[in-house]
Amino acid sequence: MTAISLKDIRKSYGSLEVISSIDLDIERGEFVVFVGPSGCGKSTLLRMIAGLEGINSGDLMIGDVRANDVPPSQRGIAMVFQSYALYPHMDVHDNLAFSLKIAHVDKAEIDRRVRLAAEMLQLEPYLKRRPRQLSGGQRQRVAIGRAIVREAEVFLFDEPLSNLDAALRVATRIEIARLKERLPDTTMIYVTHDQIEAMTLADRIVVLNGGRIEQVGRPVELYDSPRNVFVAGFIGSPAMNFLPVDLVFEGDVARIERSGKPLALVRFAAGGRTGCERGTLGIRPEHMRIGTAEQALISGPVDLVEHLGEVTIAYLRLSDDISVTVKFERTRDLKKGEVLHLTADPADLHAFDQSGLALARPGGVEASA
Amino acid sequence: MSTITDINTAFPIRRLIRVGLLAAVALLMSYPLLWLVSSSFKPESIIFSDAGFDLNHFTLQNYIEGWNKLGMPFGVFMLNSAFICLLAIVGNLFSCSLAAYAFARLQFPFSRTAFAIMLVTLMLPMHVTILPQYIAFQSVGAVNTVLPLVLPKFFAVDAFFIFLLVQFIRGIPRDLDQAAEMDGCNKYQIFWYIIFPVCRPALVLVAIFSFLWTWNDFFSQLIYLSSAENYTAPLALNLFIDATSGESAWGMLFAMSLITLLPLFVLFMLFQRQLAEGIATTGLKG
Amino acid sequence: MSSRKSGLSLDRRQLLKVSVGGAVALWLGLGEQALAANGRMKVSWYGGQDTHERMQKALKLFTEKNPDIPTTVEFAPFNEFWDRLPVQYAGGGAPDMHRHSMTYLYSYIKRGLLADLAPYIGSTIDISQLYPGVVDIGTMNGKTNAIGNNQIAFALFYNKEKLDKAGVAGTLDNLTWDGFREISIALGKAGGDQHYGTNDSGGVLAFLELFVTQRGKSLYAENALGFEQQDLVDWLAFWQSMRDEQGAPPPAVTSESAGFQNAPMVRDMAAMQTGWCQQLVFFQALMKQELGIHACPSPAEGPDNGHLIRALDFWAVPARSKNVDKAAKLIDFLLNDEEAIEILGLTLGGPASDKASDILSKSVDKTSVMVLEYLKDLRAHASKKTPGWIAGHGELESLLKRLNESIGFAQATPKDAADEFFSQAVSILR
Repeated sequence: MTAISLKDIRKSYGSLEVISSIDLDIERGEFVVFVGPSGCGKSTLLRMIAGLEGINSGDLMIGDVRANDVPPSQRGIAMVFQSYALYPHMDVHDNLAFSLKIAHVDKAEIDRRVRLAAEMLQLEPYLKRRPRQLSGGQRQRVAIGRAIVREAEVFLFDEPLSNLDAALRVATRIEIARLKERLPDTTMIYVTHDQIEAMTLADRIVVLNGGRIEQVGRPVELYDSPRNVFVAGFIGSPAMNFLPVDLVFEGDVARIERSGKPLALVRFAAGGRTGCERGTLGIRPEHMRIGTAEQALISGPVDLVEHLGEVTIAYLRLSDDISVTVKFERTRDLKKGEVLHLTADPADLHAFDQSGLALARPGGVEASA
Repeated sequence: MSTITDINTAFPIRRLIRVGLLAAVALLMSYPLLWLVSSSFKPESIIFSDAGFDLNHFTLQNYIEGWNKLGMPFGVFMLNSAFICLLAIVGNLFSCSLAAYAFARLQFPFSRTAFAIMLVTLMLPMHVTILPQYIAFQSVGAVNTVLPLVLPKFFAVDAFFIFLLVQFIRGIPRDLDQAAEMDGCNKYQIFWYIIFPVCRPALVLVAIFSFLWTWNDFFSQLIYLSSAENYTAPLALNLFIDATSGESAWGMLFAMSLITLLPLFVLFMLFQRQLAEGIATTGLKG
Repeated sequence: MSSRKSGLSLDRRQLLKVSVGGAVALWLGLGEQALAANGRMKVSWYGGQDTHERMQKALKLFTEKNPDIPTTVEFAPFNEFWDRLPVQYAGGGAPDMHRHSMTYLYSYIKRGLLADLAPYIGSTIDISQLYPGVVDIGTMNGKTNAIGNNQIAFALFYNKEKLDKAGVAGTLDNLTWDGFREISIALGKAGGDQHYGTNDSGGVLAFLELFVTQRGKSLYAENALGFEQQDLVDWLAFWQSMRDEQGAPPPAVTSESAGFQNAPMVRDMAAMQTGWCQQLVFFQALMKQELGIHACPSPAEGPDNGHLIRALDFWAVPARSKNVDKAAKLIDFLLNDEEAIEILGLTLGGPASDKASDILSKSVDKTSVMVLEYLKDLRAHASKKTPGWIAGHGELESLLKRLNESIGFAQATPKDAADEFFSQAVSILR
């Protein structure tokens, strides 16, 4: 059953179109993450679903109901704000109970729900405290608790972890994952700019850029089969390495040449294209391996090395001034200026045409534009 | 750590000097008040001839006589003042915060113009508005009641407080409004449950200054309250002195002034923390 | 652009319409002014606490005798009364009968704000027993807009003990200006340093009026000053010479002498004080030693001693009052009824008729009797004129005070000051 459906949703501020034709179906109980760079419209889209922003055209369906003009509190939606938005003059108990009080729910029911939420989030010791007496993590839990108490069908999270420090972020992320397990029927839409949160929490990820959807898919899909250069470069850290190459289309097959030298390792499907064009070859830093000079796809001197303990990251600067990042496991002894010859498994290579669209493997299906 | 000792214990003499100096200055500053207190216990004829505090002629006569001097117990005037001030505070608290909420949070046509006009009223001298107001109240027969002094307060006439609250409300994150909206509140409920309570530091300030300015608003009280039983404490105190006829009852004036000051003094003692907080508030919220 | 509804059944815009409409309806429905709807006559006056008590008592008596005329009262000290009254006149809440002061009377008459009481004179208001000046002084161009309610004259108060000690007690009789000067200097010196003969009255316009009247002139003539520049120069020079030799205090002392309790005589810094005759009572109340009262100095020869006995406070009725006839009755009561006269005593000033004077001399205290006798004696020697004060008098009072002070501070000579006074008077009195 589709919980939320967006059909050709658009939004403009004056003459500036910030959301351009979004189509999306979200299943009930799904955990969907909207991810993208700053200004891509993910928060705006979330708030449009919440009812805090208006929709210029298109249909927002919640359940079977067209919800464009339904007031926020009647959409069956609860929202967790980035700044928690806890009512500073009320204690935790009243913060949790507030929405029920406004809805004239009877006292016994309010108490029951508040206790349930407090127990779920380990907030029982803090019920009488004011928000200013709580730590960041505790406040976040109260904010989530407010959503739980409403027993809403849809939870919206607006960058809930960005105000927390690194350690707390990890801990709270795990809690949200656990929450997802405890409420399997609740649809959750989560907005973040952090792709690690997206990858770890999402059932499906929606990558947004400039008010448009770049790709929707499961995290692994986006990692393995990015549809275009943007998604490829957005997912994965450090970002995928991009090398400018020439694509030669012969029949059904596209060959790759770099600086005149053919890279015979792999071929891609031509997808109906002809002739030659400039394209991009993508290799993730973690997929690079050290090989011999003859096998090497890329050779170059080490410019900078970062030792993180669990991984070592080396930055190479190639002769044509292109920067390449390589990620090795554990600690590797590399010296600046040392020349590395790098290769990769053919299955790990990605090719993109001149418009940035990914080319499929031979026999594979290319994603539609 | 015993190697670092408090400067006070290391140099007790310094502390003594400092305290002594402060006490002397405090005494100097409060001399007029002390003179008031001691004069109220002196018989009328020696108040101005003896400048000292000598209590040889201690008498309670001023208090006993002064209480009923104006034909009714002085407490009546204090109650009148208190009543008017209380209503003024309540009126201001609600009307000014509602107006501030509208300016700070709501969109309506000509809101900018209205805001500008409101600020302009701050610059109107009292004498420009007093006569049209008087005529209006006279025509409905409201003169010699508390209505002219109190009714305007319920209609947000104090632009200063509105401005203060507008600035304060602007510092409240809109997230709170939106969270409340998600929780099912309409505009009025957002005001009542969220904005109004969160404005408390600023509201305390509004209350305190409403009280002060209403209590001291001598001219308005003078022209709107004409019969003695409606007089406020300042008006009643004023009756004790008449510069032109020389029939001044200074001793009784001081005695009754002191009685009037006592509740104000107590109020300030109780609320001095809130007063300081309110003035210093930078809009930090929990 | 938001298309959300507010969620409340009464939309914000509808609420606005209702409240504006309601306010307009209320305004229209109220109709015209509701003046004194309860039918009571409103009486107001200024004065001290004593005046308030006595007037209220007198009015109660009036209502007993005239049960069909209930009254309500308003009273305030002088300054506050005059803050409030103009607002009441402008706003429509003026009393039906009220006390008026010579300081402001002329400007109210000039602007036609006061009712003409002439039709009531002789009928409702019996003036047969009043001193002649009492009615004349409020009469202009055939209209009587105010009736005096007292008689006041300027006087000289003195500390009997100090005069005895300095050996000048008997010399106050037939006091000339030179004599006054000598006595003041002697008294000043007799008290040591920081002691003076009398207060510095160079800045007192009423005293100057006495001075020029004695010279056959008057304070005002038509709408201008009625005396000459040289008169003023002589006056100011006289007081300068007083200050030079301890006859009168320097301006530093005078500036701290506002109010009865701060007068140099009360503060034991002077032996004499000038003032309005009824103020003897107030000064005496503040002092332990006994005070005497005497006429001010006058020239050795002359038809009279130039003193003026006038009404300086009045009863007046606003032109817009709806109870003019009732007010006239009250005025008559206050001026002529014996019980009323006794109740009021000397609180409004000296009595306005011989009848009142007789009644009072039997009932009031010793000091007040001294005032009554002073007035009685003075009547035999004083001028019969009763000139009024014109609009701008108040400003001239402050101007003279300021100029006298600047002479004392050696910032101007008497001639300079007189020049300035006359040039400013032109614009003030216009």
